[in-house]
Parts: sequence; C-alpha cells; structure tokens
Amino acid sequence: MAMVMDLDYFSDFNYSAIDSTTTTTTTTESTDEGCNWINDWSPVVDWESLSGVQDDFQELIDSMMDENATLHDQEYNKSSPEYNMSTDDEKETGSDGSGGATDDVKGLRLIHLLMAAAEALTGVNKCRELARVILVRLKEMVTPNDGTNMERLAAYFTDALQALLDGGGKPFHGGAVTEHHQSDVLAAFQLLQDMSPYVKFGHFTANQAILEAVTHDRRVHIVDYDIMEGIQWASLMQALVSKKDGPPGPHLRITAVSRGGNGRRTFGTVQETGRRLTAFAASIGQPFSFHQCRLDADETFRPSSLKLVRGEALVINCMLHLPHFSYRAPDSIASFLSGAKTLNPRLITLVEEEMGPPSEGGFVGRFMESLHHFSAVYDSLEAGFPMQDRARALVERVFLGPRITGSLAHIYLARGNEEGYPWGQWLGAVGFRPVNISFANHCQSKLLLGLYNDGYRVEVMNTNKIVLGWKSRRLLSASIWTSQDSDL
Amino acid sequence: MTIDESETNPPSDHTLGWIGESISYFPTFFDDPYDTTDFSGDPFWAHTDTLDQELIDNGFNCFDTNLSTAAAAATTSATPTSTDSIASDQSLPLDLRKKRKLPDDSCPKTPKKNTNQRINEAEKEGTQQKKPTGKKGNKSTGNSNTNGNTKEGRWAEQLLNPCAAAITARNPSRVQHFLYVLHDLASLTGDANHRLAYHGLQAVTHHLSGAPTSNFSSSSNTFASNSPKFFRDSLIKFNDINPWFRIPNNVANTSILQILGEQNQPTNLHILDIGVSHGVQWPTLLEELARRGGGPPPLVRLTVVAPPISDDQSRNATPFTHGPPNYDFSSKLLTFAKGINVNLQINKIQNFQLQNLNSQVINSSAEETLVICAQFRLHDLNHSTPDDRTAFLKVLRSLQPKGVILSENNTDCSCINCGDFATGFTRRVEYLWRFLDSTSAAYKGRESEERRMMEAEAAKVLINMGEMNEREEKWCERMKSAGFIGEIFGDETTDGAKALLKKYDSSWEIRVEEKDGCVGLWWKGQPVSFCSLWKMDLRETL
Repeated sequence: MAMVMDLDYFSDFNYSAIDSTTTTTTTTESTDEGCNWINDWSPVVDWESLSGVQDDFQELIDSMMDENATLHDQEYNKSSPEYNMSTDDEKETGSDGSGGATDDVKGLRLIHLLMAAAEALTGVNKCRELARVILVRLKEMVTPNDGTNMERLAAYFTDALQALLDGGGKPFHGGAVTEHHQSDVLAAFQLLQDMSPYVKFGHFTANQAILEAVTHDRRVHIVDYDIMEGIQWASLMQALVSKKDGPPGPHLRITAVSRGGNGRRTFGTVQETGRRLTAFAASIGQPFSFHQCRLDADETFRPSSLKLVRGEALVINCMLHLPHFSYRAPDSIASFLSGAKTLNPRLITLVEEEMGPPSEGGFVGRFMESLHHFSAVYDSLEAGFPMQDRARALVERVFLGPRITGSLAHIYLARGNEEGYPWGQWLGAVGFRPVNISFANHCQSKLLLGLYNDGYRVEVMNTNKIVLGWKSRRLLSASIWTSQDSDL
Repeated sequence: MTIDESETNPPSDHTLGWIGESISYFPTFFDDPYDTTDFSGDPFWAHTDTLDQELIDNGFNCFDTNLSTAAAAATTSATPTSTDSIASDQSLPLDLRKKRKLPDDSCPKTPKKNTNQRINEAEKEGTQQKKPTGKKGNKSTGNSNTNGNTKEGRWAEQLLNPCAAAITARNPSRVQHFLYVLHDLASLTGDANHRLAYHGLQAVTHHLSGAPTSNFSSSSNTFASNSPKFFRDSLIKFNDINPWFRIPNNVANTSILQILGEQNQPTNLHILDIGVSHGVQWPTLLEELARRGGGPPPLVRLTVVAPPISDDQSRNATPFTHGPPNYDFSSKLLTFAKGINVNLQINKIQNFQLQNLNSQVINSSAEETLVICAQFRLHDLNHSTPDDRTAFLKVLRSLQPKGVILSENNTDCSCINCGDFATGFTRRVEYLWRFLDSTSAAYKGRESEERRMMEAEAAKVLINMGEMNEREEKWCERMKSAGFIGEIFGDETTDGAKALLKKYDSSWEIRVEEKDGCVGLWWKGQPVSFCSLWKMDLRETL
C-alpha cells in the first residue's frame, strides 16, 4: 500500500512551474467536519475547476472551507497526527487509514519542500538562505534510518542538496563520496542481489550478449570499466566452461579499469578482485588472466594504456547502474567510451539508469525526475525485502545515498546544458552500431524477473536495448553495440 | 598467463604486501562474516542455487549466488556499524563547508536553531549600539549588508511573492506548492522570516478563502482583542524599544512646541489628533509644555478623532488604528496634566467620517493655535475615484491650522486599482518585513505576548483593503495642491529625533530629505516612514 501511495505522489504532483493543466480529479466524498485546513489545498482537490473561471479562487475554496476550522487559531502543530485526508486511499487502508493518510500527507510535504529547496538553489528566485532554511526543516522531519520510504528517500535527497548548497557539487566529481567499510559494501551488495534483480539483470544480459558474440573465438579480452567485486565474470566463466558441445572454451583475459591518482585503495580492491577471479578460474579450469589499466589522474581513459593482443575478440563492458556505486564523472565515462571506439571492439555492453528525457524544467525538472526514479527504486526494494528494514537501510546507505548525491551533483553541474542524454544514445550518435538483443537473452531476463516481485517488468526497445522497469517506471537499461561492420 | 603479466601490477612477491596493507587499511574487513579471503568456501561463489539449475537447464547462461544465510547475517552485522557510518556521512558536508569559497554567500553561518541565531544577532546589535558611534551613515550601511536586508537573507519573501504571483497568474498547482512549503516553514516564533511566513500564509489562505476581513482580524491577537491595560503597557514598551512610532511622535511634539513658540502672544493650544498613538504620545508633550519658559498655554485642547468604523469591514483593518473597544486614555491623561499644572481638555470625536470634519465639529476658534497631527491614518483614504484624500487635505486647510504635521508610511500603494494582487501583496509583505525585522531586533529575539500582539496587529496590513500608501514625494505634491507649503523642521526637532534614535538599534537611521525637508525614518537602508511639517499657503484663498 505504502509503495503504491509513494508512486501516487508523483502522479498527483504537478511540479512544473510552467504547466498548470495537470490536475487530479479525485472527489472528496466524506469531508471530515472540523478537519485540519490542510485538507483545503490537498492534492485531491479539484483545482482544475478554478482555472480561468473567476478572478480568484474564492468561490471554490469557500465551498470547501470549513468555517469553523479557521486557520488563525491553528498553532501549526507540525507533528500533529490530525492531518487527515479524505481520499479514496483512506478507504482502502481501512482501520489503518488515518496512519496511512498521515504518511501520505507527510510524503507530499516532503516532496514540496525538496522541490522548493531545489528551486532555491537555482532558477530565477535563487535564494541560498531559503534553501538552507528548508533543509534545516527537512532534517527535523526525516532521517535516513527511519520512517516510510518517502521519508528515508527524502533524507538522502536532503543530504544531497545540502552538499550542493555547501560545495556547489564540485567535490563529487569522481571523488570518494562517503567511504564505507568494505564489509558494509559487500554485505549491501549481497543484499541488493537478493532483494532485487538489478545486479543480475545487468550482468546476465551483458554476459549473454558476450557469449553470443564470441562463440567462435579462441581468445576473448574484456575491458571492464568498473569491475567492483568481479561477480559478473565468475558467472561468465561458469558459462564458458559449462558448454557441453563444440570446441573447448576460449582463453579469457580481463582488464579492469581502475581509478588513477591517489586511488591506492581502489587499486588494492581491484587487485583483490583479480586474485579472487584468478583463483576461481583455476578452480573450474577456465584459462584466464587478469590485468589492470589505470585511468589518468583526471579519470581520463587512454586507449594506449591497454595491452592488446592480435586475434583477441575485444569486448568493452561498461556497467553504470546501481551497484556500481563509485560514481564517475561523465567526462571519464565519455573518454572511456570514445577511447573504446578507437580500439574497434567486437562488442560494447552498456548498462545504465533510465532517466526521463531532459525536461524543460532545468535543474528542478531533472531533480524531480531523479526523485521519482529513486522513489521507484525504494519501492521496489521494499517489495523485495518487505520486513527487512535494517537490510534495506544498509543498502540505501551504501549504494543509494551516494548514488543520489552523485546524481544530483551531476545534474546540478550540468544545469543549463543540454548534455546528459543517455549514454546509449550517445553511443549511437558517435557511430556505434546497435546489436540486436537475442530472443534467448530476452527470455533469460524474463525468467530472472520471475524470481522477484511481480512489480518488475522487462521490455525490449530499439532492438538492441532491454529495459528493466518497476511498475510503470523504467529503471535500468542494458544495450549492446559494436563498432565493427560484420553483423554478429 | 598469470596475474604477474599485468603491466600495472606489482611483482607477485609484493602481492602479499598489498593485501597486508589492505588489511591494516581496512581493519574490519577480515573481521566480517563476509571475509572473502577463502574464495572456494565462501557462499559468495557457491552456485548451488535452484535458480542456476533452472536457468542452466533451460540452456541459458546463469550464475547465481546463494546468499540467503549470508544476507541474514549481514542484517545483524550491519546494524552496529550504522551509526558510525551515519556520522561519517555527515562529516562530509562539514569538510566541504570549510572549503567553500562563495563570494555571493552573504548569509550568516548556520546554527540549527533560528531562534538562537536571532538572539545572538540581536544581542550583538544591542552591544554594538551602546558603543559611542561616529558617523551614522557608516554604521547603518555596514549593518544593512550583514543583517540580511539583502534579498538573500529575506527568504520568506522568496516564497510569498512567487505564491502571490501564482495566484495572479491563476496557477493553482504552483499556489498549492507554495502553500505546502510555507506551511512547513511558518512559525509564530523564531526569526522574522518564519514569522513573516506565518502571517503571509494566513493572509494568502484568507485571500483564497474569500472570507470577510472581519473574520480574520477578530480572531487574531490584535490591539482590539486585548485588555486596555495590556494594550497600553505593550504599546509603551514597544515605543521604548522600537522607534517606529516614537520618532514620528517625537517629531510631532517638538514641532508643536516650535509652532507654539512662533506665536506672538500666549494662546490656547488646540491639537487635532488624527493618529495611532492612542494617547501615549501626549504625556511627554505636556511635560515639555509645563517646563516651557513662560509656562504652559492657558488651555491645551486635545481633539482626538477616533477611527471611523466603516460598513465595509475590509476597511477596518488598518494596522495600529483600532485599540481595545473600552480603552480610554482621557482620565489618566487628565490626571497627569493636573499633576503638572497643565490645563488640559480632551474631546473625542467618535464614528465620524474624516471628510466631514469642519470647524464646528472640532469647535475651533481663530484665537487658538490649531495644530493638526495626522499620523499613519490618511493612507486609508481613497486616493482616486473618488479622491477622498485630496478632498480631506482641503478640509484640513479649511480649518485654518497654524501647522500640520503629516507622518506616513513611505511606500507604494497596495490597492487593487494600483496593481494586481501580486504587486500589492509584495508591497504589503515588504512593509511587514521591515516591521518584523526591526521588532525582532527590538525584542532581541525574545518571545513575548506583547511582541506577538504588536506583530499580529502589523500583519493586518496584509489583508487591509485600505493600504493606499504613497511615497513621500506624492504626499508632498498633494499637500501643496491642497494649499499648504512645506516648512523645514527646526534644528531642535531633527537633532532631538537623532539624539533619541541613538537609544535604538543601530540599523535605524534618520535621513533629512533635501527637497521637501521631510524627516525620513529608515531601517537597514530602506525607507519606513516620513514626517513632514506644513503651513497654510497664504497666497491661496480657499
């Protein structure tokens, strides 16, 4: 119920400063006498009937306003549970209705506050002091560890906005956001795998495409932009050695791209991953070697730093979706993908978040888009682990919090620019050719989703892209590309 | 091939070193149940899940990890560390804050409680003001930058004004948005911005509801809703800490003495009080009169024109005008006058439309020195269609006064004929901001019932239909066209006012207008009110 309501916030919520036409027309059937005046401008009000009818909104509001509930007597008791909304939702929730409705109203208040803070950071009425005051208020209302989905989500957005207010977003450029204990990261990663199909969807789709692309090759070289714990490759190796017919499997070489500069820790982790993969390959009899390739200090990728061997099928693997939390600057991703183009790879596998098209609303519009996106992610995680608040809190803290911060920093810095369209589109624009998603690959993802909550959906778009969605919201997409002429 | 071949890898004998370092770097890494050093035994790498079987049997490549036990353990192991990590989450912005260099950021640093901040600020001002100060101009400019008179520090207006604009633009979703935000930031306590948001939200909601103005004011904590004693004490206290009325009162009193001094022979003094001082202005004048060389005038007549009660309720909300219904300062003032041997007579004109005043009504005679004292009342008169204002100024001229003291808000009109709702509302809000901001400084951030009443009374400006202010120049034009000529205030008047102002917050300032000689009262570099002195233009025959 709660998750449905979270999503409903957005369908009811018209954030565009320009658009005034979207309205909701839920009828208020049982208006509580003496109810709080917040009712009077709750989103279930039919605001449409006001537009353009008269000079001000008087008649309509007059008709709704309870004469006894004069607002001047109101002590503005913010934590009052009296925020009642006579909505249809309330009926559904039955005896628990008032609590749900309270959450609902609080969720709306949070969204409005977040949006106002985002507006105060940018735009015509920019006022940093207003942003500061709103964030102070938000911090009084929410913490990341407690409350409804919307409340926890709002807490992370609050922190992210605070970071923008304090630092203008710049320090997040590829920088270490919050350093979590490695143990927390691993635990959260494993939880995320269990709770949601996000991890496997990306890895399986990419791996299946890789397997299909290298069936006849003796040597395969995969360049991986963000290898993390390397779990994607364990599953690929497993598949390579389990082929029952045909010639023996190819030799597999993986080059992990690692952060340059002071990334000693990252380097160490990648090293660890390599050691683990090497040992695993040996244990199942997969011929394997592991390399690293450092990015430059500014996180630029230099193709010449890659060691290539003639005759290898080259695969570029670029995972940018949720568990790959080490948020990297768009410039770094662009340098990797355009550098990859010069290497003429057999296949590029790309997994990224699906965000709506850049809206006209500038920063605020994209901010709301991002809020909507992560709200759907939160809801899907809740559906995956309905009782495990602490588990979710860990995943949120390790992955979603930094992700939200990075995401907002990115759109904050990119505001005004038209940059920021999806990387898939970017690949097409720079001349990569789409490779069709195979029927088998599509079926595999459908099977995968069958193991999770009913709310997940997959759809194939543009023949080379497969999208994972939660309810009506698209969350992730995997797309496959090549720079070679021969059809695969 | 082995891992050694990597060009970027350290030689293999260093590998252990790497791991060793990583151990010391991440002390908890190996304490964790997810210790990944043992690959083969770790559930991370197990592939016995039914999912695998299912998918592999189906001919697809899959590899799954069965982590359900691990996940359960993770849930428990994760909890103790959560607080640590939250702390580190928060430490980041702090670091960043140190680093930031934002020249445009003039807002004060951010303590969590606004109230405290306000108190600190106010106390700082309080101590500053006690220091002997040099040039007045210098100190006030300094303050206007640091005390948040910039757009940056005035955040409540950044919500109220766009909200009013959305109402005018008939954009319900935007209006709704601002109502939500205002509701969460509005507060009757705290700094001036929170208070402004509170009063502004009330006014906007009131406007949207279309309820009559009387409903609004009657239930508020206004002058009229309090007891006469509390009202009077609060007003006297307010005048003691905020010069909003005190300076205009003071300028009026010294001007009356000046006019009286200009008369050739001792005459009776007749003061026509069309003001908002509710009597508290007069004891000091009476004292001055008693102390005067040659003694007080034989008779001092005070004719108080009480505010008319209009049939149109929305016109009865002019701030500071209406005291408690049973408030009467006459007996106290008479006793006071008797005590200092001033022969005082008080008349009260009730329920009388200003335009209908004449010599008979106020019972004036040619022998007495008639001084009209009009303070913050005349902006209530229609300034066009019909032009009651000019008509009334001509009525004043017809009373043949020896002098007129006019004090008004030095701001633009908020009536519906002079601009749309948004324009008017923005001006009202700006007026209220100056009142709340200066009052916050006056009370040094402290909360009290008195303060609340004063602020709620001022907040009536937001819904009063009669807020037909004009700028000083416009008032001066009107006075001239009604047959008056401007009179420069005497040095004792301006010097006296400036001396008196020193007792107040240093953001206040008096500016003497060059052209018309008006005395302007300014808060943080913005005009609040003006006082002007007028005499009959004898060339005019009316």
